[in-house]
Amino acid sequence: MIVVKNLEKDYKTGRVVVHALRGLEFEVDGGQFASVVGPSGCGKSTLLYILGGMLKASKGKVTVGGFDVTSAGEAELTTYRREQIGFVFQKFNLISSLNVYDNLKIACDILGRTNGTDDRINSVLEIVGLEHKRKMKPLELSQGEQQRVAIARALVKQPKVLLADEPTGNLDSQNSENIMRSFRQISNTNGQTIVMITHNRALAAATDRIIEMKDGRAVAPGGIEIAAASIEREA
Amino acid sequence: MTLPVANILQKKIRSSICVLAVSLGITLLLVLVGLTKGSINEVAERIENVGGDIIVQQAGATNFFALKSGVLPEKYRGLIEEVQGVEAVSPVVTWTTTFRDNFYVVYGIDPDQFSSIGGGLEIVEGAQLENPGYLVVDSRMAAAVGLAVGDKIELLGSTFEVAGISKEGIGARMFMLMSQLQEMLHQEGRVSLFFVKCESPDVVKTTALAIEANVKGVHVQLLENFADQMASSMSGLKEFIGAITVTTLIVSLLVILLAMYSTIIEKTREIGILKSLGASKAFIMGNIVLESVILTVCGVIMAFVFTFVAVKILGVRYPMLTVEVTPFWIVIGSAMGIVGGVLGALYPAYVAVRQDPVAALSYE
Repeated sequence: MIVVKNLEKDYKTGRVVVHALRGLEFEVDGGQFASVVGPSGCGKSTLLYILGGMLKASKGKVTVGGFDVTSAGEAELTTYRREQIGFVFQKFNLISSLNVYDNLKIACDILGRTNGTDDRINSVLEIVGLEHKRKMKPLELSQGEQQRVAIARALVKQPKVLLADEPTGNLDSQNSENIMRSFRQISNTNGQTIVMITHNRALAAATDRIIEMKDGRAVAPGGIEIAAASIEREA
Repeated sequence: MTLPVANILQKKIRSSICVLAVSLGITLLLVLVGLTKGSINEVAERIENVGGDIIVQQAGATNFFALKSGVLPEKYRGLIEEVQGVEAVSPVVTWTTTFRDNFYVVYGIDPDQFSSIGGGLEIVEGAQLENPGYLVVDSRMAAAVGLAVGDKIELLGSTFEVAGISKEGIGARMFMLMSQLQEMLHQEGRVSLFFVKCESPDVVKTTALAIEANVKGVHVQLLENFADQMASSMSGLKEFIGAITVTTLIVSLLVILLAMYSTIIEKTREIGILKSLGASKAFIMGNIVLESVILTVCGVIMAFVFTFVAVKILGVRYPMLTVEVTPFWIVIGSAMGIVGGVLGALYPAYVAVRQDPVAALSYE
């Protein structure tokens, strides 16, 4: 599903060049729930943004479901983000002026699928347990609830790949566990591929595999297979 | 539609100021143009309503009769009457005066000759003008300054009694006997202009040319479309109206530009979110432009209310003023506001779609 080959990304600030990714390589199968771990500054978020078509790579190749992300033009990447990718961010990134329902509806509007919008929104709100808070604005919700709305917004598009950047970074342990349960449920029932960035090794242990990064490279190329035996998976 | 409306409602003060500024620009346009056009049209219509087909003045005279008194010999009436196609001629002496701090035009007329042109003054109260020392005022002036039949007023250094009140809309606001006005102005035997009625509408143009050819030193003017002729003869009027129109466009454009630009800066992260959801440039631009269109449409609606109120206030405070807000200028004012708003939103929208999605998402 996701194939990353010799991926490099350089940032230039004046004369200073920062090598964020240095020949990263790994693969994630379709339907897998993978986590990317590593210290701050190792290039995790850069990787996620390249996977999501938000950032251009300096070198290398990334394909997602056969789509070559690294050689695609701006318009193609916009379509790719719209139709194949769902993002979940650490800071939730909900639109504060819109209520829960409208935050999900705008994702459907952008997608251009108007048929069955209400049913789809109700369905994902039920999955994240927020169907009773559909009229509330993001700032009226707890942080855990806001993140669940963000997950619902990503899911309502029915993307092939869910990319989550530190989705539990702003949450307490109870909410983090709830979010992980949601991801696991999505992975098991919808078969969507999930790539989650996290600092929390305990949470990473609950995923199908861990890709450990250091200094812009995967520590163990190809990722580390994890035995599926955690409490979250059983749940 | 949801996002632009939600953004407008979220920033109520910004949105209100924006709507207010756009509406004031349009109100300024509608009231000033309405005042200018209304005043000219009202005067022109009154002159047209005298009923003649042609006005004969001294060569080189302006359309603003009140700016002069007697300059043509009264005996020209006979010469004009002899021209083929002329049915009736009425000489008029015009003069300006102030009464209770307001500016008025006085017509000195011969009531019988004046009536021969188009029916004359329609008296709604009191009596017709017959004797020296009396005058007739029109109903609008009577209502505005509180004059009634029998009231005595000081005018041009003499005392007059109001003999009657005429229906407004014909000629001037005040009428007195021509002979008396000539005497008061020391212009005996002189008149300002002649109203001429032709035998039929078909001969108006040929009769006008014949009058100019037969009576030396005169200039003839057709009363058809007199309002347009007056407006075009006013130096700088078109430029003045054009300047107000462009000012409205620029004010609307700048207000929306500033409001939308500050919104774009504030909403940088939101634009990043939309991009992460796969929103196209057209979707993002469309939402920004739609937000500005909603704001300007609200501004246009508010401008209609402000204009209505302003016209009412002017009518009460200055009853002699005529403000004419026509559908044409309502359309122009609305278009200026909305076009300005859309143009003002284009640059911020362009800035928005060019933003890097990752940088936008990192914006604090």
